Amino acid sequence: MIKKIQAGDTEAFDALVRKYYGIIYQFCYRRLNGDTDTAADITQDVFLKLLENIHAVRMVGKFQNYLLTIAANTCNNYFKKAKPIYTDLTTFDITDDTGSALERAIQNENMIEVRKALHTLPDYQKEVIILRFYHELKIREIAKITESNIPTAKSRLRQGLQKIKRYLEDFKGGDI
Amino acid sequence: MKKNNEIQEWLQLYDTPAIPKGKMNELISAGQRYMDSAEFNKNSLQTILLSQLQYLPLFFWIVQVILVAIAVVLVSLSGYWKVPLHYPLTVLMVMIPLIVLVGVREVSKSNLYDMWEIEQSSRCQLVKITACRMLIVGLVDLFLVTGTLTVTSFYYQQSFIEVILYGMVPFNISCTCYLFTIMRNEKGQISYHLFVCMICITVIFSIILKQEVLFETSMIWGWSIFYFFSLVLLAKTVWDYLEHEKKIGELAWNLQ
Repeated sequence: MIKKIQAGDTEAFDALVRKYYGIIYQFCYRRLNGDTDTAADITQDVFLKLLENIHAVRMVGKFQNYLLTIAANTCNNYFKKAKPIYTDLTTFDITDDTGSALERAIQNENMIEVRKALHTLPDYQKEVIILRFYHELKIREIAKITESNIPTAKSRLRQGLQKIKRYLEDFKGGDI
Repeated sequence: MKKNNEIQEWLQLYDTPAIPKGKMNELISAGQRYMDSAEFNKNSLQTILLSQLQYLPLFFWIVQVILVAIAVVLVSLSGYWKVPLHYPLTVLMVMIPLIVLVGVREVSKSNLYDMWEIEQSSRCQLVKITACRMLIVGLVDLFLVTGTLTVTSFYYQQSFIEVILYGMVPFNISCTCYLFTIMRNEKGQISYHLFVCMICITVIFSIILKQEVLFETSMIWGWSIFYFFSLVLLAKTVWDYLEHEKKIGELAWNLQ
């Protein structure tokens, strides 16, 4: 597919975006604390950056990880340049309307708490947690994407998990 | 382990909204537009150089070679008749700006013949085409002028470095003046202004080079400084010229 895009095949680009847009959008959405508009903008930047550098792409490993690396760097650059984001952590754009009103209310409350828990983490820990638990990557892959080494990635994951655990204990009243 | 699993399950509750289809389609359109643009279709430097080499007309090469041949013959005759050095240098002061003029016209023919719009919309950017032409023509002219100066230094038993400096300073100044003239002029008058510019350079340098004091050994440092200064000036003008080419291309797209 990359070779086809390098050769100027626009259909291949169409297929590539349709295949990977969701993964990158979800990463950006969680990384940007649920800011839907900025997540969409950054997702667009990721694919356009890929196009700009497509002639230099030398594929080693999974393509998804390559895109996630660009996404992680683009998000980090965004945080360096942009003013702090004040996202309303208590609102959601989820349109899942299955289940009863009570179930939806509980689900909504849980989601708000998870988002708040993630929001308490420093960026480098949040990044690792997102890649590990939402994209199911191996530590080796996470280390590569975050441009760190394996022990550092492990340590960030452990520290992040501990913080989330403490948050969860407080949320559930210490029954974990 | 059990606790970690529980945390993982809890984290999985954080769902994301549906993919914004509109934004995704916008991205696909933007990407496809970019892929159709000249910026995406980057050819390697070698490809552009070879293609530009192919488009340089035979007439250009013939004129260049004839001018150099005339210069070499005149310099050789001056050497044979042992006339003072400033005579062959005056010949060179006429021939060098003329050779450069032919070269510069070839480099900027997109502007001279008002073809920049077509070249800008081709799959290669105008600025790159111009840069490649500049590289080819510049190197050829440098080679030819250096050859002529070598002949001069041979006949007059002058230091090679000195003769090179005497020739290269007018070469750099000529290039700078022509490019500057092209950037500042209306299209219809460029040819006329370039010709006037060539006459001025020729006359000014012919007068300057009649001053014998300039050819004393101690003046070599002065020439070196002047050469360096002219080189910096030329580099700046080439940069401005390429920026100018880039800007007219961008302007064309913005007006569409």
